[in-house]
Amino acid sequence: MDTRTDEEIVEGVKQGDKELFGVLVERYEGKMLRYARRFLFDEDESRDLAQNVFVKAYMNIRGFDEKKRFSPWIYRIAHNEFVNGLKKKSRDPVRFFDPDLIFPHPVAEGSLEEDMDRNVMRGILDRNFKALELKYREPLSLHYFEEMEYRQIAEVLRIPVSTVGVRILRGKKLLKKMLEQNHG
Amino acid sequence: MDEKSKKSIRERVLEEIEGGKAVMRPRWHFVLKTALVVVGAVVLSLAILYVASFVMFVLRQTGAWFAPSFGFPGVGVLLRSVPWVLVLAVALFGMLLEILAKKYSCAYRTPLLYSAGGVLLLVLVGGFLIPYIGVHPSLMHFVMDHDVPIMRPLYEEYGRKGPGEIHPGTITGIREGIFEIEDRFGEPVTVFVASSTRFPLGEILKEGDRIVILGERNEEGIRAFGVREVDEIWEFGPRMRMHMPPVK
Repeated sequence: MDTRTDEEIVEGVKQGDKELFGVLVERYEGKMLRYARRFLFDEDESRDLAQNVFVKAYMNIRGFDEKKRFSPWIYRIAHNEFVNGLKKKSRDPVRFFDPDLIFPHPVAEGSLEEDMDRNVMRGILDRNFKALELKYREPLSLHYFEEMEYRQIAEVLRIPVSTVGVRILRGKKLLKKMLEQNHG
Repeated sequence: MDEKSKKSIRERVLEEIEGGKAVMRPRWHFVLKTALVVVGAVVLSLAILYVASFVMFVLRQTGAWFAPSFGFPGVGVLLRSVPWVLVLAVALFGMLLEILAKKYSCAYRTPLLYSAGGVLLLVLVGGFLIPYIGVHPSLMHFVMDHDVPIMRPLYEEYGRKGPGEIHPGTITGIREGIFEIEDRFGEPVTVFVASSTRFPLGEILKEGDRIVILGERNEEGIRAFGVREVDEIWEFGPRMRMHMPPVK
């Protein structure tokens, strides 16, 4: 097993070691497939889109700054690829403008963590994520399944950190409401 | 299961790389892309500054900016006088600048309110500060003298135009109920003042004062609804006259 960091591997790929890119693919394959499924793609679509993500990552790897972390960078490529995939697939327009992006919000990272255990939250999300809008589903998925911090999610989605906080909080509230309706 | 799905994603990706379908883009591609974004942002910022300040310059030179001081009818004159095409152009440049800026973390990490505030600040600096520095008069003279493309038609079009109801000029003589003025194109015009004429900044005016008159102009002159003094030099005057036919 390769013990080098993602960033060290990227350096090797940039030097011309094409095989080394396979290590990155292995490391992120499962994550990309899981992330793609959160966009409601089926298995075949997820595999094709994940492949596109890696191909695009390889093509643009010289644009990656090794001083930064590789993970948010490849998730950003995946986000773009999946949003484009969704646009092609869905008749519903993907909304790019969100009032949450206009005004500043206080960041409340983990404010609902006390009343919802991480594993419990994953379970709830898994069962109900289809009912959530993408703008809530995506940050929740990145936070609970990809274990990203708000700052990293902000980098992937290119939105303010405070907006990530607001979306996660609202997403949780919506899930809670769904649970209450299901059990009430 | 078909052949494609039997292979792992790793195999499929490496196949594309080995087969030359996926080629690493050279470093200069990204450097060029960044340079283009930076140049684009600088050009758009300058365009916003220029057009916003030009709009303000036009409004002040045609006198429309001062019209609201005559009350509600003056507000209508100002609204009709705003070069909305240019205002739309500023808005469009602002949106493009916002899109370019959002490629950088300093912009996308901040709420839209702040980054849009930055663009608005550019517009305000362009609209209110640059006209005070006096960039446009000298720029206009340069543009007209050197026949600068794109910019010359701008000065010609908006320098010639002007709301029919507002008339800037300089007092050349004062008689009972009448001002003689020279309008911004150097034409002598008679201004008829009545007891109902509004003087929002006072009635004490003398020869040489630069004024703006709100009122209808006919063959005899202007029937003044309102008159006020302004601290403006009529740059759309003599120099423009050399380059364009006088207005009717």
